[in-house]
This record gives sequence, structure tokens and C-alpha cells, in this order.
Amino acid sequence: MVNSPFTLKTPVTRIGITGLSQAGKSTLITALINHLENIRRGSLAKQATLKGLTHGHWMRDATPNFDYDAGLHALTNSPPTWPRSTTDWSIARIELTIDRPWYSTKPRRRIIELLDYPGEWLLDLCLLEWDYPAFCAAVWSWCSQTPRAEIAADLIQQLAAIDPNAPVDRAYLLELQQRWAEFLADSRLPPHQLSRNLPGRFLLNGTNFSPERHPFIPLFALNLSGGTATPKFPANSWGAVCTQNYLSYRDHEAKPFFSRHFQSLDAQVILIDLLGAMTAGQSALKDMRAALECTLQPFTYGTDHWLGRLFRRKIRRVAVCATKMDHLLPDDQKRLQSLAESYLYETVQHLAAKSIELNVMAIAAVQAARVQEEPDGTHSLIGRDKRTGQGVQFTPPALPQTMPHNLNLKIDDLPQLAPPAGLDRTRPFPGRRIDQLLAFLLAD
Amino acid sequence: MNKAPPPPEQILRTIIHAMGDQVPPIDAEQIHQDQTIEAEPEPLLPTKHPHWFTRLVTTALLIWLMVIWSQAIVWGWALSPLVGGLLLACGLALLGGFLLLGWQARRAKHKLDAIADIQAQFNQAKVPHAPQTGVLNLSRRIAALMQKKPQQAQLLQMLSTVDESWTYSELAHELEHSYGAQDRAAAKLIQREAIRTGIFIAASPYPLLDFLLVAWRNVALVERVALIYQIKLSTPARWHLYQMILRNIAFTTVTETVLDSVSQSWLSNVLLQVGVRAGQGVGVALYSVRIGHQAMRLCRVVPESKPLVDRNIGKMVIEAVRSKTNPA
Repeated sequence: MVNSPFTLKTPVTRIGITGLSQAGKSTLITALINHLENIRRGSLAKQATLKGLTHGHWMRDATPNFDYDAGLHALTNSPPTWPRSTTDWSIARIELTIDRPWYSTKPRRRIIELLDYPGEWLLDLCLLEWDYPAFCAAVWSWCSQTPRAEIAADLIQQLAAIDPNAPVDRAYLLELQQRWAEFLADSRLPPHQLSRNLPGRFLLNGTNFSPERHPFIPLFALNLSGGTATPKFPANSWGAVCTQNYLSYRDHEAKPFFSRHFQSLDAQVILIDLLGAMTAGQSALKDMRAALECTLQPFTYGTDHWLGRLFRRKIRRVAVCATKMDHLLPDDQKRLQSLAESYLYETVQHLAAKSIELNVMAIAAVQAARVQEEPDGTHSLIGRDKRTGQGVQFTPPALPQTMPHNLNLKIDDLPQLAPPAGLDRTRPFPGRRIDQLLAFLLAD
Repeated sequence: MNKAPPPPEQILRTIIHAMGDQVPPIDAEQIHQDQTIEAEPEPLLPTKHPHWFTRLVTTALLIWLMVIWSQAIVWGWALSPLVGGLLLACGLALLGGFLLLGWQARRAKHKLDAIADIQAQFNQAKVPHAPQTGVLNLSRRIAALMQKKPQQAQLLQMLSTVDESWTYSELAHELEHSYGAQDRAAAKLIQREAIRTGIFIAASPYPLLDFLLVAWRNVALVERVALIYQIKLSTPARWHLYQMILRNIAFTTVTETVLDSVSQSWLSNVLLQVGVRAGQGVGVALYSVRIGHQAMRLCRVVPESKPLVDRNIGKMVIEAVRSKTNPA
């Protein structure tokens, strides 16, 4: 939060909700706004650190504005559904009213900004430090192994067969780029659920980006030749065109996306769908962890001194949140947190060394399951299946305390649940630990 | 060379019990009801009710004092600059002293608020299906509260061993164990002080003396309990306990007055008079136990799982007061 003594503007706290695609960012933002709107009700009112907050008001004047109405409509509809995936970036702005201090005649105000964007684009942050050969090398290291090598064996073979110094065939380049985008789309869907799908805008273009305008693909021959130095390609060759278009993508899409939205954050929520990745198995778990580590690299963390805070922002609070904790029985919900800590151990250690406030927690933005106690004393969960819309009663598996080092863990048949009926804007949505998350993020 | 086969994947299976219409429908209202905490934790301190009239009177009083002080300085300055300067310095010193006291009281209040908050967190974790996460954060918070107290080294040592695998009940159990010596010392002190107060009251012949005795012994009891736990009581906490002391004094005064008026007409029997006085002493002693008990609860970060002050203390107090006041 910037509190410059030279300005009387309402202080703004920018919170980045960082998560890969399908992590539940839009649902979380909708739930956070709903809880802040109902700040005097429910569990949020009991949080000691938020005692002074009296009122929360969602502002419609942000540009581009987060579509809270659509989120509410989806969740409160009959039957309720999860908010639709985000297709472009937007900002949710909430004005908080804080109790009038004794020396003042009017209450204080504070603005919270929550940033929403397609998770696909977050992956592009990996590209910020890579030139074209580094991009090709990274993608080759992923594609030369299962499961990618099996998903798109033909395409990978064709890419490896292209001579980077040969004159480019534009029609073929466009066709390969199209096939590459389809391969990325296949990779992220079940049963693979892979996360490192680059470039992100090939999956979801956004309003101002057209992949056909500057087409490029990874050329694997660069890696197969074993060269390390940056090669010089003849003009109008495959290598020259792809390098030029890749650099254009990096400098005009990925870099502005980061500098515009992520460079001035005060707090960050790193959202991971650990249960979702566990249902896909070892490859998905490995891929998601690598993707997160890669995307978190460019962020600036740390606690600045007061003078530094006047001129630049750094992320001072980070909450690492494993979502969908309500899909587990109460005893396993605690294990989900320790599992997340174990899974992201290196990332958490890296963040902990930055002298920031760090919290690892398991959350559920909107609770979709309810514990049912059987006559014999056993517990199960009931909810509504997302795909069929029918009720489902199930006992989720007992989780281990820590993640196996080789990540060879897989959850079978865990249902994906739909939101419960009867949600209402005028009451805080039933969630798990949303109050604690907000108390942590707004503790200033 | 043959490559070793990858280890088999560990499969965690979900058991589907029923699907479709057999499953009861789920709605937000039911989940809200599940989440409602069954019993709210008992507040340690009474809730604050800031009233506009109190604020008005306080502000008026402060303004009046400032005006009087300014007038005194002007008057002193007219008399002699030295007198004026002296009055100014005295006023500033007084103001500084009050600010210092206020700051100390505020710090103590924050500490006790934090203790109350921690206790509430422990109580919330007792609810069925309550999440058991955040134990590590809580232990760090407790450690931060205790950091500047060398006497709490054992407690800090225990807190340093806490990790995320601990549950709230385990942490509470360990804290109870760490508080063992202090609890015993406080309970012993309360017992001793309650008996003494009871005997003083039973033996004292003058109502005014009773009034002073109760005030003196109870205030000393509260201070000494806080000292055992290395806690500085805040003004609201003190005020809460002093309200209880005032009730104890009121009880003493009323019973004394009734006793005086009745004894002249009805209680001609000396033995009966002594018995009634012993009863008065027992009443005061039991109320003193309650004050001490409340002071103990205020000073501990963990809520009491079993009565901190043994119920037998009440009986022992009664027995002791009876035996000391028995003329036989």
C-alpha cells in the first residue's frame, strides 16, 4: 500500500491473483468481492485485524471492469454454475470504509484492486528472459519426453525436420502454428492437464493479438544440432522469421502484460489447483510446479524502507493457496495444506528468503460439498457433480502428509463439483478460509 | 544397460457411494448452518460501549484543564517569568507523565487483547470439523508475545518445537503443561489470600475496616497473580477486575450493615453472632477466589480446559474460615 505524505489520494492496495488456467481465479475474485461487500456479516466480521472495516463497495468505474455481475449471475443462477473462464484482463476495484479515527471528522477509505486475467497468459512470463534459441531449447526439453512426445509425435517430428536456414514457406508456417496451438489445447485438457503451454496467446488471443500476423513456431533442429551460440540465419529463412516474430511477441505482448499489471503489486495470491493436478498424475504435477516456478521468477518481492515505498512497489505479502479444499474430508483438509507446502517447497523457501510475509493455506472460494455423517460414524461428502448436474455422495481418498519426492501420486475418480444452490449476494458465500485470506492480505 | 522401470504410481481412490436422486440436495443455507459455531467463546473482557456522552464529558474536562493551566501560566508569568516557566514545566511534565502512562496502558491492552484473541482461536478450534491449520502461525504469535520475558524460557523452548503437523489441542495441551508451575503457584496464592481475607473480615469488628481490607487484599491478589504470569494488566482488564472487587466490597458493607442492625435486636446469642460473621467471611473469601480465578484466566494464552482453581479450594476456604473463627 502506498501512503505518500505528499498526496491525499485514497490509498490503493493492488493484489495480484496469480494462477494458471482453471485454478479458480475468477471464482475467487467473485467470492472476495462478495465477502468484502458483506464485511460486517459472517466470519469476516470476527477477524481481529479487520475490525475497523465498516463497509465494502464494489466500484463499477474500473477500466476494464471485472464482470462481477456475470460471476454473480452464474453462481446464483438455477442451477448454479461456476463463473466462465476469463478471456481478457480486467480489474475489480472495491472501496473499503474504515472506522473514523478519533482525530478525524470523517471515515477513512481504502481501495483494493484485484487483477483478473486469463491464466494462459501468465505462462508468457517465462518468455521474458528467453531469446528465441532459449525458447526452442526449453520447449524441446519438454516435447522430447512423455507425455508430450506421445500427444503430438507427428508434429514434433515435422518441427525437428525443418532446416532453420532454409527459405520459409509462409503457408506451411501458418499451418504448423495452427497445429501447435491445437497441440497446446490438447495438452491442457484431461487426461494430461499439462501447464507449460507456450506461447499463452496462441491458446487465447485476446482483443489485440492475432497469431497470423506474426507467426512463429519452435524449431527443434536448433537443439538437435547441439549449438549453444546464438545462430545467424539468412534473411527470410525459417530461423530468421521465427526469431523476429518471437521477439516481437515477447516485447510487444509478454513484457507489456507484465509491466502493466504485475510490476506494481502490493500483495500476491498464488493459486494452485493441486487436487486437479493430482487427478491427472505425476506428469501434470511436475509440469504445474515447473510452470509456477518459471512464472514467479520476474516478480519483485521484499520489504522496502519507507523512502523506497514512496517511489516503487514491491510485493510484501504472498499467500500460496491450494484451492478446492472442500472436496476433502475435514482431516484431509489440513493435509492438503502440508501437501501444498511439500509440493512447492523450493518456491516457498525462495519466497521465505525475501523477507516478506508468507502464508501457505488451503482454501475454498465457494464451498460446494457438505460433510455427511453416517449412522456408523463414518463421514462422506455430498455435492452436485459439475458435468452431470446430479447429486453425488462420495468419500474422497485420505491424503498423505507429504508429497512423494518423485510426485508419483494420483487421485482417482474425484468428482468435480458444481456450486451449491441458494447462494445470495446479500450474504457471504459459504467458503473456507476466505476470511483468513482477506485478513492476511489486508492486515495493513 | 537396462533402464530401471519407473516406480508404480500411488493411486488414491475415491469411493462413490451414491449418485442421482438418492443423494440429498445441497444448498448454501445448510452449509451456512454447518459453519455456524455452536457456542461463542465466553468473552474475557466486557465489550466496549463507547458512549458519546463519555466522550463529550472527557473532552470538556480536558479543555477545562487546558484553560485552567493556560490561565495559571499567564497569571504566573505576570507575577514572575520564573513562576510562569515553572508552571509551564510542571504542566508539561504532568502531561508527559500521563502520556507515558497512557502509552504503557495501551501496550498492555494490546497484549491482553492478543491473549483474548488467541484464546478465542483455541476455543474455535474445539468445534467439530474445525480446521486445524494455522497452528504454526499461532505458536509464533504466542512466542512473539512472550519474547521479552526471560522467565518464559521453558514456554519459548516448547513453542520452538511446534510445526504445522501439530493440532490446536496438542498445542493447548503443551501450553497447559508449560503453565503448570505458574498455575499451581497462582492457585496456592489465591487460596492463601482468600482464606486470609475471609478471616480478616470475620474477625474485624468495624465496617470501614472491612471495606479497606477487602479493597487492599483483592487489589494485591490481582497484582500478584499477574506478576506470577509476567503480565502487565491493562486498564480495561484492571477496571473489569476492580468492578468485581467493588462488588465484593459492596457485599461486605451490606452484610456488615445488616449484621449490625440485626444483631442489636435479634442476635443476642454470642455464638450466633460469631457464626453469622464467619458466614460473611466465607462469602468474601469465595468472591476473592473468583476474582483471582478471573485474573488467572486473563493472564494465560490458553483457555482453561479444567478448572484452574480447584473447586475444593472453596471448601477449604470455608473450612479454614470456620475453624479460625470458631470460638471453641
